Amino acid sequence: MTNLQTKIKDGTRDYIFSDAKLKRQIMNSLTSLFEANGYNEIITPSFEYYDVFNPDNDPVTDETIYKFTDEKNRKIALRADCTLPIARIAATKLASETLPYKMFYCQNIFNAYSEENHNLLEVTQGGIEYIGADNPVEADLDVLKLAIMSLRSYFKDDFKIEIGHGKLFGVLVDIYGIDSIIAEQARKLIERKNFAAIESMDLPDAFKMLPKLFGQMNNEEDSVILEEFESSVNDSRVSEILSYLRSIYKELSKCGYEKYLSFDLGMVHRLDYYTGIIFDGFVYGSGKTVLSGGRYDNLIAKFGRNLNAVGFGLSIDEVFDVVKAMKKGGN
Amino acid sequence: MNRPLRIALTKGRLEEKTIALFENSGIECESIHDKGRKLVFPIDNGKIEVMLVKSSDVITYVEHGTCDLGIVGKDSIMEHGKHLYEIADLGFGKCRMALAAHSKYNGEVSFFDGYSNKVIATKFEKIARDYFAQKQMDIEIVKIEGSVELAPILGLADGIVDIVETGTTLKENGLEVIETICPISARLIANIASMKLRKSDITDLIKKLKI
Repeated sequence: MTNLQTKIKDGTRDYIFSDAKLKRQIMNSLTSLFEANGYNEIITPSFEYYDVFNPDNDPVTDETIYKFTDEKNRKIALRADCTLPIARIAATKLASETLPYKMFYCQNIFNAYSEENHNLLEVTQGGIEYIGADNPVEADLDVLKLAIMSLRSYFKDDFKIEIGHGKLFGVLVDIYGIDSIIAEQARKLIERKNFAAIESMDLPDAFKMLPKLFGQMNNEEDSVILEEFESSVNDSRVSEILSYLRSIYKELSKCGYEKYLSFDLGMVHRLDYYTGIIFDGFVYGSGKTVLSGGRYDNLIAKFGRNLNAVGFGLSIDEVFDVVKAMKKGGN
Repeated sequence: MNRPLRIALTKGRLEEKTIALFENSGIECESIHDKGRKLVFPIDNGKIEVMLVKSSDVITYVEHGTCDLGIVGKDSIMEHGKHLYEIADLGFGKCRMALAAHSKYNGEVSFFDGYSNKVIATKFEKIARDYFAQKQMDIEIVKIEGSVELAPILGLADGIVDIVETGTTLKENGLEVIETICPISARLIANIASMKLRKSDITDLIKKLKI
């Protein structure tokens, strides 16, 4: 008998009694909210062909996929992401369904390896995908509203959804004709808000402004730098992106959601995946991103059907940790 | 939600200079001068809390969001940092990360020549691996926590990757800098969520410090 018999692997969790109850409540309230808003559930296999999660498809990094082979020696992967199997289904089995598809999921994903040692190797994710919308603007709004409602159901007013745009950086690189290697260096520095280092690079002012462009649309100081940025670039594509973000902000404000919103034009992660709005959810006192999402219009085409899509995923385990800490009165 | 802004500060060398920077900017730091065995120090009339911790722990506290900001050397960010914002170079605590080896390597034999794997002693495993990966060289790492200079002297390693300030310790032990890997200085880092949720507190502090 090995002593492993009585242990569980680092990065996995038992939820016992009250913890299990709390986790279940968090999942149930989320899925009821999704259902009440017209989204239908999809449950996919815990493991499927590796090709579905092929790293060329992003958002998954190859080394994080648990892989094994089946009886015919084909590569199999544990579910490494929830959106890719749904993209597969949307492109294939739903072909005869009327568009759009509004779908939700609440299932576990598995990471074989985690860069941060405190990260879980098995995470329960809840989320939605709005696929094939007639009017993508409406879909963006619908998904953002539901993201806000989800976080509000757990955290009352103590959270923020931050919105950026996946195309902005690429457009700037194009406008100023920046070399791709330099652009990638700049992108990394902007992602880290490394103001000093980006300042010392030989780049147009627009790039140096980018990491500073975050805050509230209704805050005068913040909206002034946004306008300065817009006029210094003076390009219709950039103005289009900004006016889109402003209109999203305005529409959501109509629902009284303004206080939950902020913007960050320096969100430059996963740019080859996101093709429109990008957003992240933060909770006061947590320090982590509990929700993330955006528009990914190129993904489903990789499975053979050209459909626009927007969605978000929320880490149930992360929400669990924050809710539990709040109950203890920590932080 | 109005808990004080929490700053994790690297104990020791960076500590004094940071406190001098704060005091020169008009931030009251009385409690830190009378440390005792306390671990948490309220400054700026209770608006900020400072924790004094080991450099690698600064990264941990900030990445977990337990602390909103941190002051730490660039070396620790390179070695341990993953998800954080590196918002300012504080300009002090300057030194460099370098590859050093026995002086013979600066003669006719280049350190980078030959096909046999070099053994590198270092505290900075990740920095050393990244550096040699760029050079397309396979290396073997020996992790040393104390004086790494000892490893090449005793023949345990071909070279070391370490922080070099004046180079005196190297010289006294018959070692020389082969190549500077990068300059190091103290940085102000921020938790990603804190930067967004407490933007005004953080930008106010940055303005006050004039960094």
